[in-house]
Amino acid sequence: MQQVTRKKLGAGVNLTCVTTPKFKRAVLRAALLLPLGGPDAALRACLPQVLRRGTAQLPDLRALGTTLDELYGARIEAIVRKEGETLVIGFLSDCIDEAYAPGAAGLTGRVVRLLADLMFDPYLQDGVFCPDYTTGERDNLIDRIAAQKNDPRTWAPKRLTELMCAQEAYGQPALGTAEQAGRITENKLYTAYLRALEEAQVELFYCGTLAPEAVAHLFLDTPLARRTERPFYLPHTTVAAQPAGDAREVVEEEPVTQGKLSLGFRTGGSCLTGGDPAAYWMFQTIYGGSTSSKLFVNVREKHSLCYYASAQFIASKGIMQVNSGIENRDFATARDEILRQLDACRQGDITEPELESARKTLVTNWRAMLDDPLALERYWLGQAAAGTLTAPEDRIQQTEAVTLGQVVAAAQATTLDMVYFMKGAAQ
Amino acid sequence: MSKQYSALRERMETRTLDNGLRICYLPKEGFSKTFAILATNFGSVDASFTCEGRRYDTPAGVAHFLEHKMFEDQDGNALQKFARTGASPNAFTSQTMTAYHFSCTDRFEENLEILLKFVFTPYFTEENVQKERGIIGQEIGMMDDTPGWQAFVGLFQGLYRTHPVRVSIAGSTESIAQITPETLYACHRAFYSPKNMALVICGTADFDEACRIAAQFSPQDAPEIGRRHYGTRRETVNELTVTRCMQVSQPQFLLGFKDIPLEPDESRLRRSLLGELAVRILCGDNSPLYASLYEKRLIGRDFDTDYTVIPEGAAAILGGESRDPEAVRAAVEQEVARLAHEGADHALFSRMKKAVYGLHLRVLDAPESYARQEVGALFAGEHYLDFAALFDTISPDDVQAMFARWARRDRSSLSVVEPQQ
Repeated sequence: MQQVTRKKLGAGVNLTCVTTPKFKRAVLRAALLLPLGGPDAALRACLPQVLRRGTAQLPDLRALGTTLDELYGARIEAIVRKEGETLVIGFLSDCIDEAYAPGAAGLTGRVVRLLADLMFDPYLQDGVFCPDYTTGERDNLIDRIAAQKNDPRTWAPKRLTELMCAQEAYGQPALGTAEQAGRITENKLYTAYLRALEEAQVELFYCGTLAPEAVAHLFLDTPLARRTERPFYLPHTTVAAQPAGDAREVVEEEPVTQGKLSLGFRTGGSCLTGGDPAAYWMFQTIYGGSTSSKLFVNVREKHSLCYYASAQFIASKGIMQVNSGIENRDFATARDEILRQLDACRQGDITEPELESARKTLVTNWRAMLDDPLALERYWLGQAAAGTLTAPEDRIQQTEAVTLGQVVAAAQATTLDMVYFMKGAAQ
Repeated sequence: MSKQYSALRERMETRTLDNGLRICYLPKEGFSKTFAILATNFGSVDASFTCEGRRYDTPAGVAHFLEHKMFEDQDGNALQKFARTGASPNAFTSQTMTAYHFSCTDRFEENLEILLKFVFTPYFTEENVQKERGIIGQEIGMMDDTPGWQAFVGLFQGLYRTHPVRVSIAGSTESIAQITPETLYACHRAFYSPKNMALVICGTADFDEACRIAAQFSPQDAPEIGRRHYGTRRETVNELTVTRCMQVSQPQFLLGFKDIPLEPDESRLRRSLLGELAVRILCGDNSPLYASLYEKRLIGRDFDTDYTVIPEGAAAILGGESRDPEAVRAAVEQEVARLAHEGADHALFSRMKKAVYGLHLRVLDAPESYARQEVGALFAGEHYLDFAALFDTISPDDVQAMFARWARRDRSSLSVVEPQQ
């Protein structure tokens, strides 16, 4: 029922269209794919926020806001994402389908033009970005970088990634550092903007009722699709199958009530484009991916050590994390129990019901994704950044075929790289 | 009964069983997933009640504790039963409801049976209650470290003096220590009566079959629902400002305007829509005031607005991060006063109405969001899909009257989470 087409619109410009009559909304994305990290990191993170402030035609938030309201509350949000070792910056939009409101004909085309204007026709002063917008968004970025620590539950896994992948591009924060951000000026930002437009691979996305040709036509009418032939960034991610050395343990104190325990593993090379990702997802689900997983049943339900303990396979980079919130005094007990459950998987201590329940959970999750246009956007961006085009339906087929032997092999290929404990100093 | 919503291109099926359980089904053609939610009109605010002639003043957090414990049955944990079918089950407790739900792409009827059975079958022992205290204690610890949640709890402490909405949904480690199997049984008896509950299904299901299963696995008789006590009501706020300190990089705040409770015959859905529209006109992310505060770096993209209706209360809520929450408050209060006096500009009113309509329409793409909205509407004797028709009844005068209520003296409270020194 869902037709997915991918079309090259220009040099390094690709459009992915999911054509379906299911939704009352259309989701669109226009994004630049660039290497993660490097000296331009903060500039690039700042860029979509400054662009979102105004276009030559709609020079400020009031003008933009009025236009978006008139488009039945269309939303356009600046995005800064990390997909493997690729940085994604740009805009994500969702608007109602034209069929659902009087006078809404041509609405999708207007949103496409607005996306193009935001990206290619920004509000400038004296040939560079407006100083007010630049300093405002520079300071907002500094605040956002500092605010990452506010929620310990999301900060602990980020911190683990930084520490564990410190020697890899993946360890670089998508937002850059506060020091880099502090040096942003309108001139530097404008230079970085021109460079980003030159170097980036452009990924466009549409999910909705319009035919792919019609959508391509809408984008081809704008500068988003007009680029001359030249070299551009080809997304790639380096996957380390094993840790560089022995497992490391890092403890840091933070003034929080509850300790956060995060464990990072290498997957033996399983990632979106290599190893055996289908088996790895199965293993991750059995280990800590659902309410019937070994971590949930043992660490939470049996030992009451935590409210949450879950495993996440980060397929874009080929790593796995286990995250949980615990009392300080339970650090060693929880860590040992988490590793004991991994050992159980390695030894093939997996029952038939566990295997089949994980399979069903995964198939349900993949299928459910087909009902969520925002999840589809994210999924296809991940595929584009990994340079692969595996459809969710293919993932379902692969999941159906995974054997117990493959799951055990995935567990055995898993190696602990780092234990990170954020000790609650307020306890 | 089948109801058509031609402008929305939706058709809804509804039925009320003999035992009072309300069932509602919204078919979603082409969807892989079916979502079902079984909810009781019993939330954290319903801690004091009278049932079968006896008054209960239960410890804070009892509705949430009950939610956790319901999954356990004599023959095992319902989570594990869902796991066998591949469904994703979950539950939540809010100030006004407790809800149990699952989504699945297969074996819907089997999952529905599991859902109904565990929600209608209480099974509590000293031992399993004791064990749950550990898990919930960790959840409370996690919430204690979440600044947004702390600001939320602080706001309701500022807005209300005695209303139970002041108390955090999960309670505290001290309050949950007092919860016993007897407390849980009493709450289940008082509020898990079919006539106090609703089942909403969205996706692809056989409605008649779903109703048959619901009739088979819900109690035949519906006990009387507990009579709730919310304390004495005051028009004005309890405290103008509530402050607490945490590890945050800059202050986080919520500003609330206390509104009057629903009038006896007032539509809850209409009030919610009106409130949402008003608060967006005031400072929604496309409003003139938002642009001005954003340009002064007093608010950021995380700033959000909401309007909430609770039993015997209602409030508009605005907030996010700010280096100067008091300055935001002053600007917002000034704008409320202006809007109360002058009313909203008609062009602004009509474009915001268009935008809010568009946002609600998009809810219908998300079965979970729709179902949650529908449950809330059902408890008020309404249907969420009526939003489109209700929107047409909202005038600029309605919005102005609402601003006039917010503009009265001592109707706003500011809750701030300050960075630790």
